[in-house]
Amino acid sequence: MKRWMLSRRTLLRGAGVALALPILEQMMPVARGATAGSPLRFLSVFCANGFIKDAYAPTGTGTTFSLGPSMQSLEPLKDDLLIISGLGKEGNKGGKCFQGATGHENGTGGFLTGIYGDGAAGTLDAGTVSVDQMIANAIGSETKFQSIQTQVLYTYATGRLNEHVSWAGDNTPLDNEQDPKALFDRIFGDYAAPDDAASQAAAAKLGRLEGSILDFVSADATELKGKLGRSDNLKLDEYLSAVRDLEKRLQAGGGSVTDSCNPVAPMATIDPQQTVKNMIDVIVLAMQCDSTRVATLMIENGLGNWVYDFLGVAGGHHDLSHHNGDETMKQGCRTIEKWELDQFAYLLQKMKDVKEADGTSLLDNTMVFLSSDVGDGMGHTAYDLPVILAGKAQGAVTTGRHVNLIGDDGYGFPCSNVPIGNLFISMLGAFGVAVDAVGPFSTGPLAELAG
Amino acid sequence: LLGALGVACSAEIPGKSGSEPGSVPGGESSAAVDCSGARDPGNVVMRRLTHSEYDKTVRDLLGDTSSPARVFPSGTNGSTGFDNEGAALSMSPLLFEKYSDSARTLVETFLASDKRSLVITCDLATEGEACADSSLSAFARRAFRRPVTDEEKQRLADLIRVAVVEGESLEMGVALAMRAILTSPKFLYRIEVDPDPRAVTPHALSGHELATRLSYFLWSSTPDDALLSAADAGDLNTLPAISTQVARMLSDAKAQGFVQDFTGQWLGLRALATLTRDATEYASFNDALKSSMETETQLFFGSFLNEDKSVTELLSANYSYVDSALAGLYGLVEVPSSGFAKVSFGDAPRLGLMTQASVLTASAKVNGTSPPKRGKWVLGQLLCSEPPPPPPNIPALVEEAVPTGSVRQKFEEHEKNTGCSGCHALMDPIGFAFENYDAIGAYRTVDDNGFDVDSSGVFPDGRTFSNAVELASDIASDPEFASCLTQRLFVYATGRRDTDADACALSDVLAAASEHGTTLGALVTALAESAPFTERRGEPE
Repeated sequence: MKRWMLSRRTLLRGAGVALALPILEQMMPVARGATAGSPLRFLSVFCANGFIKDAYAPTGTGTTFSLGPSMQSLEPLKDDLLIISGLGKEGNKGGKCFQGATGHENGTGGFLTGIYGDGAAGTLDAGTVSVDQMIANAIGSETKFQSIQTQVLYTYATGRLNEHVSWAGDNTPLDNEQDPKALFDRIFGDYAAPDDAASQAAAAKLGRLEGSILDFVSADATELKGKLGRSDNLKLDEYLSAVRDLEKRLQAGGGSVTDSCNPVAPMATIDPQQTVKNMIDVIVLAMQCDSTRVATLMIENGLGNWVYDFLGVAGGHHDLSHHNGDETMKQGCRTIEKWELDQFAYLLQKMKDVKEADGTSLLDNTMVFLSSDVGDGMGHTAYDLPVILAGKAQGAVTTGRHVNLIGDDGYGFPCSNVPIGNLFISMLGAFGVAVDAVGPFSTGPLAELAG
Repeated sequence: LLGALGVACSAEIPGKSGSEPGSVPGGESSAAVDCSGARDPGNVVMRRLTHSEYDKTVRDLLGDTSSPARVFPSGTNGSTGFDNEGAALSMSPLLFEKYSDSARTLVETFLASDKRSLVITCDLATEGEACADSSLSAFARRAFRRPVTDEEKQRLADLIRVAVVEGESLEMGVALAMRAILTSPKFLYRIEVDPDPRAVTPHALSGHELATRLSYFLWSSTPDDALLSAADAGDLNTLPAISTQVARMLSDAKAQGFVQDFTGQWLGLRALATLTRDATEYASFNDALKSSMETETQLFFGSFLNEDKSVTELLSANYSYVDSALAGLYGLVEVPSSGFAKVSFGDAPRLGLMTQASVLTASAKVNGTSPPKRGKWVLGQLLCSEPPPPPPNIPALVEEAVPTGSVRQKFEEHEKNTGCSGCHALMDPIGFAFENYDAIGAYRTVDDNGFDVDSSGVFPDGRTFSNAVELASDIASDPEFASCLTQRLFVYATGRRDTDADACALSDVLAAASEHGTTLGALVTALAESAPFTERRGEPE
């Protein structure tokens, strides 16, 4: 139990005025009830190796469409979805639809950035910040965690671009928590509030002692900054930013259990399916309790080669995605992709079941973005990416539709001229982040978001 | 062997104008280089400890073998293929929190254990703050790998006083200070200071910086007392002193850190931990066998550290280190009765690293072999000529439920497609030679599709081979192998990509080592003595 999560500064400052309210409630992050309406949230879900379109692609467009077999479990949630077909990395190229391919590193690094991650250098284009982090910078400051990053079914892949989708800067990937129980402890470990003056005082003292460590290491980093060169100083900035994050958390203090937020730790498990569900549960809980408003979930990592033996599929996911037309391998991919979308349905239903103080659902107040590193794993295609938005994002997204951007480009090739960066511009707009471009290929906002 | 590589194999990565298709991670230059002018030792950004280094460092500082980094976020590689690359070692809020949690657990455990006398060298109860201050100064020297300044001593003393003022024990104050040391950037990063951070004039590393480079290169851990003392005395910065230290360090058990971390990444052995095999086809494949595979390669590679044999024997050795499980997998006549033993392959079709089960498994798929994957591994890791990623819009090869040809025949389709032929003409023949080894490295004569294996092939220069043993023997005699290994060691040792400016240093290292039989020890020594290892420069704004 981390009872020390109280800032010595806050406590010292508040010592004389903590009269009306118990001290812990004073230090709660701004809660839903304190602002008008419910907060807006963002959640992205990464699936590896693309989707096989004959089972994934919806038929029909607009409000009259049918889900493909891979998406059957999303049928009850159809009115909460905006499926967009045909977005690609680059859009038009030389008067033709773009038909390029990409590596898994390029695709995963570009998942929330609209660029190609540079697999050879292991970085993103200079100045790149991923969409989730741009959103977090805009809306994350009021919560205890500005954002959280998670990843579940992990297989070793060389290259850090494959392991991260959330980037605070072009050389600063944000690490993923891979254990749902550890994530729970990190977010809710300080939720049991001390209930008497003696333990409050003890917690206050511990807070001051913990804070003195952070003061010490910050002073060390600041001292070094004066002695070192440019690249070293960037590393120290990363370090100091991480220290400040923990310090801010200490100052936010512990939360308290309420009717709408009663965190229960997930049961320990080694079962991969249960682990995925547990991670989803903790993410939803974190949003329900307003501990964070921005989260990313990678079901696998880029180049993921998880073996879904629990689905009866032989072979690793990435190996299968290079099926060379082998029907057994293709069917294995479809089975895996359906399972991934089953988990997505579980997530969305869970969010829909969470009712907020104003009567809306958590899903209504969230923009959920699901996609993959590539369109189709076999050819590493960087066009026709699978894109599903879910949740109305407080009206910014008109759901219950399939927007099909695929047309004949005049050369008989079914594709679209619309780069995914355009979608990112519009997604950011829903969070009040006004940008003209996301990545090098975008051409302007995607009007179809609001329908 | 592969003279035509640059011409034959290239592909464009869309949207990346200016990238160099076919360039090698850590890309070396093939152009003739003039080595007569001034040399640039390079600049490396301060390096955060890798997870492996963190675990080994707290083992050596505190005697703690709990491997705390096992719960850290997965550590990842940068562009060099090694996770100790300075530029790619980033810090996130999550990771810092893990460091913070780890420091608390480490210190609480340590102070409650009988190991506490490693740090607390006097009696806190009777000697008070003087004891606390001296213990912490000594601990900070070891943790920061250099002498501690008066200002740092004062700050540590101040931190202890915070606890005392709060009415806590001196013990609590010491615990706080130890935790602060273990979360300080001066501990978590390997810091090297230039006299002028913006000047590009080369200068020698300080003795302590050099001691730190040596210890993380060869031990993946913190300098021991001997290294720190040599640095304190100013005795480390001479070539004889370096070669003496390297010899001492390579014969120390801690050199296993180098063996594990270098082979784990150079040869891809780290992939084994999360890798699986189809249980019906490979019933004997389990965690124990995976562990045996890894141990074999580590013992084999480790035998080169102190033995007088050329690195070419890494590829041409007619022996290895196996246990009974591997002897069975390999069909060897000699079977160790217990544990691992050095055994001769005899007539078994094995030769060197390339036919070891570890690398054959790591470069295969869950349910079968992949000739291009194995070919790419050989080209990339052993010859530093990794082909670029596949081009756009690859057509499906064959759509057939029941194979009508061997795996080789299917992949030979690659070479008929003009977009694919350049690289696959290089990768695939090498991979075909290994078709005699299944996805866990067992020898076979029938492939995954049920067809006879044809393991013969031709190199681009016209030389032929009839099987993997001949191929391995050819590659062992290719000077590119020793040169590639030198480049990989350089990147691993310096924590940065090599550039054109390093070409002279690299060729000097190889030349110096060749005067001593190009042993692994000679290569490592020559690298440790080279300017890019012993010197550095600042970075212009």
